[in-house]
Amino acid sequence: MSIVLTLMIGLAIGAAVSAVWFRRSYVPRLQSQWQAERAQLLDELARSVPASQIERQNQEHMQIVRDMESAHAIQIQQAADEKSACERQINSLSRSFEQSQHTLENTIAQHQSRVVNCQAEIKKDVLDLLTILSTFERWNDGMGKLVEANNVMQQRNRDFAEIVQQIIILALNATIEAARVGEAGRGFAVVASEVKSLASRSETFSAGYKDCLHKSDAVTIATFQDIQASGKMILTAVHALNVKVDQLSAQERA
Amino acid sequence: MKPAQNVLPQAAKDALTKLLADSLEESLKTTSYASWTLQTVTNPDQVVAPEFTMLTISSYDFRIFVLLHSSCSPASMRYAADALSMPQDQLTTARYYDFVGELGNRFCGAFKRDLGRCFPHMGMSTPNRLRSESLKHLKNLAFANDIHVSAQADEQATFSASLFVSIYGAREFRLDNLRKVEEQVEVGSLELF
Repeated sequence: MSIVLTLMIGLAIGAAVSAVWFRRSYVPRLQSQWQAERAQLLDELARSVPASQIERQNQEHMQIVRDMESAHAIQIQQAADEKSACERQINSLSRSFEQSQHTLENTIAQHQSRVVNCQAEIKKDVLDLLTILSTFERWNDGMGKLVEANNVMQQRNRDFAEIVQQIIILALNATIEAARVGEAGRGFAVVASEVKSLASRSETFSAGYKDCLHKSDAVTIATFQDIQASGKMILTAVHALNVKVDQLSAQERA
Repeated sequence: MKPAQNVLPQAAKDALTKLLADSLEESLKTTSYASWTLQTVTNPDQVVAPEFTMLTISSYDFRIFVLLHSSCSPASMRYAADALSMPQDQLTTARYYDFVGELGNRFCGAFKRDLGRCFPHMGMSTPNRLRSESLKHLKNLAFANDIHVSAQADEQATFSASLFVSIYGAREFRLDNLRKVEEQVEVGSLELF
């Protein structure tokens, strides 16, 4: 056991000594060798390409780099300027937009106020218009009285026509009685004939008057009904207008 | 004011005739009197009865007189008593004419309702009763456009109706919408000739 341990320690010491030797002697030798090879390669390169060409190319490359740096700097500056200009424009537009929005809001508010006022006025006018119903009723009353008066006149004319008929019969009877009396009744017969003639003229007049009354009836009723129907049409239209005004107000409130 | 356009186009006249007949039939029909024969009448003298009920339908540029002619015949009285569900011997002449007034109102209302499909702005009067002697004066009020329809039930009850149309506006009196609707409706038992 101790022999094995001793052997292992010995091996470890040997490895350590070898490592130290490798680091102190072999690595520097390798480095020297590499540097020598590099120098040799550089020397060979220098001999194959003239130094002036390398220098010129070097100068050109440096100039290109400087130009590119310069152009890049200009572009950066331009971009910065454009960014700044855009920011100023955005700020200006934003302020302008805010002003426009404010103006628009004021205009809308004024417009809405005017609309509300107009609606209130229209509503009042419409309600006033609806009172036109009382006017129609007044017309109806008036026309009704006219129709009633026509009916009374018709009745009076019928009464008058009956009286005329009776007068005609009476005159006829008087003529017969006068004839029966003979010579003494001749004067009375003349009077009866005149009465009959007057009654016949009255009958003709009554018939004409009756026709006039029928015409009056037709015209009166036609006018009366036209007024009544037109009145209802107007009232319906005003009611519809009133409903629309209410709907508009409700929409405005919503 | 004399009508500006007093000639009704034939198409409108035909549509109005049909509408008049439909409205008259609709208002006359009852459970007991379900079948009526309708005829257009070219001679107005054929529809004249001693009295007629008159109503007016007015709009901005026209007015229409709607007339319902009726007589106090036993058949018409029987029809009225049946419609009023009362014994015929209790139906007085005054009550009969009240009934005819209500019938005229219903009839004119039905006519106006259908006409409203073409003319939304219209108003209708209440009925008035006139003697037939007034009819010629109505015609003389420059109403060149008169239409007459007669309806008769199997039981001999007869009612007739007339229209007098006056057009005052410059617009053409068109009933296109009315015809479109009517084209979709079956004529049924209606006989017009």
